[in-house]
Amino acid sequence: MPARNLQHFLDDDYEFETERRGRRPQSDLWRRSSPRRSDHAMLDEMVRYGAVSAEAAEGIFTPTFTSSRHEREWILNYLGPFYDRK
Amino acid sequence: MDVLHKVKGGKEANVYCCQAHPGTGLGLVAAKVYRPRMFRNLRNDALYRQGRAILDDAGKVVRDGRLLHAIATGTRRGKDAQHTAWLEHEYQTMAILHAAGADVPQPLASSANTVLMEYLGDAQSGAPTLNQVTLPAEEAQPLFDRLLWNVELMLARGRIHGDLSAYNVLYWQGRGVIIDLPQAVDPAVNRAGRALLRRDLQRLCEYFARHGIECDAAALADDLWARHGPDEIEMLPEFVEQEDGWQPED
Repeated sequence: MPARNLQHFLDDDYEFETERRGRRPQSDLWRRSSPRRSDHAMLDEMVRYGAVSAEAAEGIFTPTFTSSRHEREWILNYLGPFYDRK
Repeated sequence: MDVLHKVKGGKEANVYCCQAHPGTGLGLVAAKVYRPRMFRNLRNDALYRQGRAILDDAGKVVRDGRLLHAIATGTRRGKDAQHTAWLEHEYQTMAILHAAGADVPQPLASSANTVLMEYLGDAQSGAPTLNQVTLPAEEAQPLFDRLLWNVELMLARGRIHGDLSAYNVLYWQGRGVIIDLPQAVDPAVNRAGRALLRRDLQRLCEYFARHGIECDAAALADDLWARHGPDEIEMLPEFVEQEDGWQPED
């Protein structure tokens, strides 16, 4: 029988391996739930946080329309390709 | 290209007013951006999809057996393909009707989730729908006649709007423009076509009756169907089982 640390029995938050069995790894959960982000969405965020110089930002799709973060990402994802085509 | 403001937000899509790139010479354009498939209610789509070909994002009929199987079994890939086909069908319907001279917005481009089209309105706001305006009395009859002409033209080109009402007609500079065409059906392959035509006309007549115009929607529908309706409805084998004498809700 493998040795177990007594502290683990006293710690309510500690999860033994047997309890974790059957769960998806945390990294997999993150990968499945995180939305796919387009280059446009990432570039827009960089412009908003000032990570891009003003000259470089000129070629980046940053719509004037202000909306919720979710809607903005939606606009950037779907209208970005049209911006690229001019 | 720049997005200036939201024209309309709906359960199926949002429409934005966009400033086109100066190089295109287009000025303002409308971008209809569909909600991602998982946020849309697809419950009633089957009726309108009856007999339709599945189109890909290039507007070509899908013939890939594996993809057609995915659609039939309702996998995620299949649902994505159906979503694209729904949108592409709207684009093609607009292109057919606009080329025929119907009062619909001119389609400009489409992608997997977006349709770019002619914008009606000014820089501040989009054109109102018929139900949002107080129609001048002298304009009611000519507008009704023109809309009826459009319905007839659409039928002659093998399309029935399927959801025509004052909510789906823009009123701009004295002109009515019919919008929202993804559910338009081809009466030659859709058993519900005649019933949908009658419902479209019923709703139009109800709206214009409030402006003193008397019309018999059922008689109009019968007359149009007799002149332009298909002689025989061809049902693709996979849709035959859906024929159940369905009637649209009023």
